[in-house]
Amino acid sequence: MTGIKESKHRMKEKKVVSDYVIIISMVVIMTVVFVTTLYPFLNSLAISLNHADDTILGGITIFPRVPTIANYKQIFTNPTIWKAYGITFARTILGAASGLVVTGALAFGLSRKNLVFRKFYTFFCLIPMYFGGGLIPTYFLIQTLGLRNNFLVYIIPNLVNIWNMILMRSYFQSVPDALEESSRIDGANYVTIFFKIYWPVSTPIIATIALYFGVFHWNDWFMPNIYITNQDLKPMTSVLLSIISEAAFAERMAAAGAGAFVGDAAKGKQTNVRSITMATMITSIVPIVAIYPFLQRYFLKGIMVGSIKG
Amino acid sequence: MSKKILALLLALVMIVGVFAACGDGGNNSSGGGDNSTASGGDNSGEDSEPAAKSTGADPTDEHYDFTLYYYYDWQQLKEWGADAFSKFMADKFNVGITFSKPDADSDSKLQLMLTGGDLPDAMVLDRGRVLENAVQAKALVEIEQFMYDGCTFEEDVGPDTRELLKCRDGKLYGIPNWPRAPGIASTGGNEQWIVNTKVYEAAGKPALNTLEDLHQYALKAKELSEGGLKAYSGMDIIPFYSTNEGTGFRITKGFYRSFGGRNVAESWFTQEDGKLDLCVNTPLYVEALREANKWYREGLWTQDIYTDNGDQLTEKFTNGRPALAFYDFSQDDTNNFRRVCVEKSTEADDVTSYEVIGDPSYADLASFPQFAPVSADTITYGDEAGSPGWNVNVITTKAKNPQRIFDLFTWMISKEGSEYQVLGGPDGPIWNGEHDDEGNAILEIDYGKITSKEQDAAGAWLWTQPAHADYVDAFKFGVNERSGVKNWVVSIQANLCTYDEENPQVGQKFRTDQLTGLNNVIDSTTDLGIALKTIQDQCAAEIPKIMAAESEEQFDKLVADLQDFASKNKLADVLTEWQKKYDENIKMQGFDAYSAEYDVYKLNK
Repeated sequence: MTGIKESKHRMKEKKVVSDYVIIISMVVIMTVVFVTTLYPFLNSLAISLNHADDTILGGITIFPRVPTIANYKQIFTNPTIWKAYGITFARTILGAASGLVVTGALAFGLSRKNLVFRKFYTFFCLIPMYFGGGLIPTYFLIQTLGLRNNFLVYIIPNLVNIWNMILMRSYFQSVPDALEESSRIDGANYVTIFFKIYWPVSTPIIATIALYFGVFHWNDWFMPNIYITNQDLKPMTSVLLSIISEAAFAERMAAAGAGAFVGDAAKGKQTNVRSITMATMITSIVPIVAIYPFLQRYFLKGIMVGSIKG
Repeated sequence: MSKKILALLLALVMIVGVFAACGDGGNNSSGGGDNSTASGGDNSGEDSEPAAKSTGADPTDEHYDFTLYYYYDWQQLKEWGADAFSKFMADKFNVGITFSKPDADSDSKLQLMLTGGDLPDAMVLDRGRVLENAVQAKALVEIEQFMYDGCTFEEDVGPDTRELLKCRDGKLYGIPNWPRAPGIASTGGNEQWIVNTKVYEAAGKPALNTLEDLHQYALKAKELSEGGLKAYSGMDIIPFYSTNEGTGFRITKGFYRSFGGRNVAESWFTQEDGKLDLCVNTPLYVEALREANKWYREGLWTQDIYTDNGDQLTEKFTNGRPALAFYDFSQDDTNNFRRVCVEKSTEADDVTSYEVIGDPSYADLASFPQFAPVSADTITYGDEAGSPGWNVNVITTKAKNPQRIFDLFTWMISKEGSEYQVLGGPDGPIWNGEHDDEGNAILEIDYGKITSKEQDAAGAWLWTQPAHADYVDAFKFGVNERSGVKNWVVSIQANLCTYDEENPQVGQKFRTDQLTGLNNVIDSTTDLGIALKTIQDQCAAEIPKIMAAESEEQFDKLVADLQDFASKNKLADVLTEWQKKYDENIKMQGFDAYSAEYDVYKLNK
C-alpha cells in the first residue's frame, strides 16, 4: 500500500506541460458538453414553472419570469396523466423484473460449459441481433397471440434481450466455478445455484441490466403506438407525443394542405401551450433521472464487465 | 473447421433472409382479420354489384357502440358523452363511441391496421392517397347504399360534390368534413394582410390601396425601426413577416394574388387562362416572385420566415414586432397572437394591435382593398372554396351496423346538426335549446365572451368531424352578429371574407371545384407519380431560394434551373393528366370560376 502511495506521488510530480494542456482541454470540452446538455433541461424546467400566457412572449432562459405551479396542477388534475403514469410505472417495474429474470436465466444457462449444443444455442440467439421478421410479421404474431390492446404486450415480447443476455453471460462466466461446484456438493440444483449463489454475487450486472430494461420500458413509445389503441393502456410517452403533436396541429394541417380549415377545426381544441408541454415532459423524465444516480456506480462497473481479465 | 461451417451457415441464413424480404409478398395487403360483410350491403370491389338502396334510417331502440379512429396524431381525443353536445347525440342516436388515434407515424399505423385487418368501425381519413389506400385494401363500405329518400345527405352534399368525392373505382366511401353547399357564395376566410397599429400610426397611417403602397409602408417601418422605433416589448420591428412554412408558400400566395394571379393548384401550379402549368413557367408568377425577392434584398424580410416554428412565430406577433404580415388571422382563436399582444401592450401602456386590411369594423383600414392589387385595374381573386371540403369520415367493413353510423354522421353535417356544432348541446352553458320567434337560438352567454371551459362543457366545436362548412359558418356569423361582444375572427370572416352576392367585393371567397381531385389523378406509386413528387419537392426546395436570391442574375438562373429540372422530369405528362381532370371538373360544374361568364365579382353588370 505504501508502495502504491509512493508511486502515485511520483506520478503527480511527473506531470509535464502537455499533461496540463490535455487536462485543461478536457475540462473545457466537458464544461461545454455539460452546459449544452444541462441548459435545455433547465430551460424546459423554467418554462414549465412559468405562466402560460407569459411563455408565449418567449425569452425565458433558466429562470421562470412569472413563476407558477399552475401548469403542474393542470397536468395532475388530468386523469389521463395518472393512468399513463400508472401504466408506465407498471410496465417499467414488471418489465424490468421479468426481463431481468428471464434474460438472466438464459444467460446463466448459456454460461454453463457443460450445456449440450451450447454453441448452437448461442449462435441461434445471435441471429435476431442481425435480422428481424419485419414490422408486419411481428404485428401478425402479436395479433395472433392475442396481445393487441393487452398490457402484456409490453412485457412478453421484451422478456429476452440478446445484448443484455451477452453482458450477463460474460459476467456469469467470470464467477469462479468453485462456487457452483461447492453448491453441487451440498445438493443444490441449477435453480438454487442461479438464484441463491450467482444472483447475490452479480449485483453490478443485475443493476446494470435492470437499468437498461427500466430505461427501455420507461422510454418506449413504439409498442404502444403500434399495438395499443385503448387509451387506458397508453403510457406517459404516448401522452407526451400526443401533447406535442396536438400543439403542432396547425402547422401539420397547413403542411397537409388543410390550412383553410385550421381556424374552425381548431376552435374546439385546448391549445397545449409550451408551458404545459414542458411540464408534461419534466414529469415524464424526473423519475428515471432521480433513480439513475443510485444505480450509476453499478452501471459504470457493469459496462466494463469482462473487459479486464484477472 | 467448425467456425467455418458456422460462418457458412450464417451466410446462408442471411441470403435466405434477403430473398424472403425481397419477395413478391410485400405488396399484397390482404386483410388477416375479420372481414364480415356490413349488414347494410356489399363491400367495396370493382366487380361487386351495387347494393340495394336503404329504405330509411335505422331505428335507435337498441344501444350501439362503435369505434372511431382518427388518422391524425394531433387529434385531441375527447370522452363521448362528457359534454352537452355528445351527450345529446348519444341520447338521440343511442350510440356510444370509443376513439383512438396514432401516437406518431400515421401512415405506418394505418397500413398495419389495413394489413392486419384490425379495423375500427369508422375512421376519419385524408382524401386522396390515404383514402385510396384503404379502398384498395377493401377495408371500406361504399355509403350510397345507406342513402334513402328524404335523407338530408343528398341536399347537404350536392350530386356534383358526391361525384368529386368518389374514388378511382367510381364508388363513394366518404362523408365529407367541411363540405360546401352548391352556389357561388362561400363563407369564411383565413389569410389576409395584417397591419401593426402602432407602426402604422407611427408611419402616418398611409393609404394601403396597392401592393406598392404596402411596399412603401414596409420600407417606412424599416426606416422607423432603424431610427429607434421599438415594439411595445422593446424588441426590434420586423418590416414584413409571414406564416412560418419552410417553402415560403404563404409569401408567394400573398404576392401572386396582388398581381391578379388565380389560386394556385397543389402549391406549385398555376391555372392562368384555363391552362395548368408549373408556377415558374408562368410569367405573372415569376413577376410576383421577383417582387418578393426585391423586398428581401431591401431587407424587409429575412429567411427566419422559412425556419421559424409555431412558437417562434407566436413570440414575434405577441411581442408586437411584425409591422406588416400576410398571415392566417383566424389563428388568434388558437394561439391568441392578437389577444396577448393587445393585453400585454395595454399593461405596458403602449397599446398595439393587429388589424386586417379591409376590415369594415376598423375605420383606419376599412376603405382599403382586402388584397392590394399592383394597379387599379388588376382584379385580385379571393380564395377558392372547393365543395368536398377537407377530409372524410368512412365506415369500415368491420362495422356491424353501418346504417346507424351513417345516420349519425349525416345528421352532424345537416343544418340542424350544424347549429349544435356551433352552440353545443342544449344542456350546456351556452344555449338552452330554445329559439326566438325568428328561429334564432337564444344564447345564455354573449358569443364573444364564451370561455374555453364553457365551450368544452357545451361541446361546441368539439365534434366538428364531420361538420358542414357553410351551415356552420352561417350559424356562427348569425350568433356573433347578435352578440353584444363580438368575436374578432368571426366578424372578419363574416363581413370581409365571405362572399356576398348582393354586394360582391373583389377578393372575397368563392366556390369552385375546378381544382378538386387533382392530387388524386396520378398514382403516387407509378413513375409519373414519382416524377410529380420530385418536381414538387424541387419546387419546395428552390422557390425559397429564388425569393431569397442575392441578385437578379442569381434569381434568373435559379428560375431557369427549376424550369429545366421540371421539364426533364415528365412535367408535360403530369400537366396532360391534370389538364384532363381540370377540364372534366369545369365541364361537370358547368363553369370556369375565372371566366367572364361566371363573373364572380359582378364586374360585367
